[in-house]
Amino acid sequence: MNLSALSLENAPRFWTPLRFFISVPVFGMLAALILFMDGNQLLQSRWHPATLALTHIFTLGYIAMGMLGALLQMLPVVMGASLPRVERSAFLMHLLLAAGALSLVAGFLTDLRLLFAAALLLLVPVLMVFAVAVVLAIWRAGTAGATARAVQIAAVALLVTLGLGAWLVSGYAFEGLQVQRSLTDYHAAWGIIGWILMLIIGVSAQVIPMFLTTPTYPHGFNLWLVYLLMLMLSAGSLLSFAGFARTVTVLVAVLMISYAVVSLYLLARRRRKRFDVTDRFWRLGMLCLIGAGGALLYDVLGGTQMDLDPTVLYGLLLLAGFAVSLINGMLYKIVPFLVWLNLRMPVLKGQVPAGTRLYAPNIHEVISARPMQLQFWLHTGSLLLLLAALFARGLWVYAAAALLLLSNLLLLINLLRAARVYSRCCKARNHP
Amino acid sequence: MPTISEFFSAQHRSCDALLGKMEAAVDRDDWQQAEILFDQVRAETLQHFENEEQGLFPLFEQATGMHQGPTQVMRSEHAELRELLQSLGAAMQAHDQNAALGTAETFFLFLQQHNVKEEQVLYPMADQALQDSLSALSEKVPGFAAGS
Ligand SMILES: [Fe+2]
Ligand SMILES: [Fe+2]
Repeated sequence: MNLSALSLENAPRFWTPLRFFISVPVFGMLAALILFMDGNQLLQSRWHPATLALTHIFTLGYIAMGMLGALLQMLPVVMGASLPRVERSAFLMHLLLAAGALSLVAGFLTDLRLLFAAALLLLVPVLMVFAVAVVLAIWRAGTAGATARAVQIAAVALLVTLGLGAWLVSGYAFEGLQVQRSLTDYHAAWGIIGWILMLIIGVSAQVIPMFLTTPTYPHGFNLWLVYLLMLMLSAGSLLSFAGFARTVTVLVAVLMISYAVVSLYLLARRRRKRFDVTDRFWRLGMLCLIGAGGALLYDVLGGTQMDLDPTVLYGLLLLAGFAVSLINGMLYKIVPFLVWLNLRMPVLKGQVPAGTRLYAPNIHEVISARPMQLQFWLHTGSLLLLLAALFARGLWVYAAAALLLLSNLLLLINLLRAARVYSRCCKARNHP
Repeated sequence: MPTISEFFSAQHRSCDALLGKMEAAVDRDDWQQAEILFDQVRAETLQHFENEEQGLFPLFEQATGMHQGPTQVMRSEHAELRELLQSLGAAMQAHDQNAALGTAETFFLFLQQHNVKEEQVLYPMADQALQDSLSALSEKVPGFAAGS
């Protein structure tokens, strides 16, 4: 592999991943606004246009945005896989992804063909190029680790998700094109269980022990989970005979739950016991994953019929609960570290004479603990209220939307503060 | 004899654990205990860097012919980590809880990304390249032959 790629010098500059990260809570706030607009109707059925809009705000605007930003940072540094011309392509990717997510969401809300066509034009190239670039970069780097392999497989699942999604959107965009809406199930499964869950399982193998000093996952655990999930997804998509879908669903639910239980077990055994807000977010996310797995099992194994669309419940737990919590927690680890790292970069690159004092605030000074904790509680509260709204209807949904808005506003403020610490330090250096 | 990966990775874990204990002591304002633990963290970390810079890296460079490659990157990160240890020491001496915890976290995160690169890439390569030089390595690295 190309070892020199491991150098931090190959990490993208500060603003490259930051643009992605700062967009994340902006989309979170948009999600809250949609909840305000359509209230209860939206939680009744996944086919409601506002529900589709909300889902894609989370998956594209929040989750994919956060994951792309993190992968751009992580691939060169940790896996030695450098992406060609990362600065300029990242700038363009961010623009296309944000504009594409907005067009798609606006398309669902207004049902204008033009918006769907724009979404296709914007999203297909950016996600396709990204997924292919990730697969190729890791393949070229020859990194053999479990995380690299899992990321590659997740990227393949992203391609399948994108292909199905593009076909489904074409049905909205072009008159006269007949598209089987039943493909939506496959699109959702490949997106959530494929791309999102497999990527998180793979990346967490490296990130949870590293950032939170937990013991490592059992050897091979994460990669096997990813292989099995991929097998389930492929088999479930290609084969269909009586009872098979049920079996696959049960197995997927069991895999989800076992991953979450093992992760919680590790998080309970951190070697450093100090309060850590990322740890809280990740535990909450794992609990949501157990909830989703449990709900799947309950449904498949013939629990009494719930008075709601169960797919909305899964979506809520897997997207707003599991994936969003993990990304939110990750942002609080990665952004302060990037501020510090980029401020020290001149020393690390040997661009200043040895012995030069170069001030950089320590990581706790970048975002203070209190507002991060408050944001954690706002986030937790919004999730609980969303669940309440799903089961009880009534005004809960507006309370949930309000907390979701506040939570993301505070996340945005916290991230902007971090960015301000960075730019102030840079300015102070240029004009001492 | 242990493999290079096993021995050096175990030293990483041991430093992590000590640092965790030190943070806990700082957290409960037990400065006497915290300073003892900090001295151990510093001693173990610096010894580990010595093991790499004086023992592992030169042998690796010799065996692979890569003098400007990964070992150089690792050395410059060691320099940064030594500087962070110094700031941490100053905060410990001043009994400044916020500075100590913040600097410890910074040191820890930077150390982790450094260790990951060693454990994922450098050590496995060294295990391959240095199969015949393990006795030379054990002369430079205390405890290596005994595997502890
Ligand atoms: Fe090292
Ligand atoms: Fe090391």
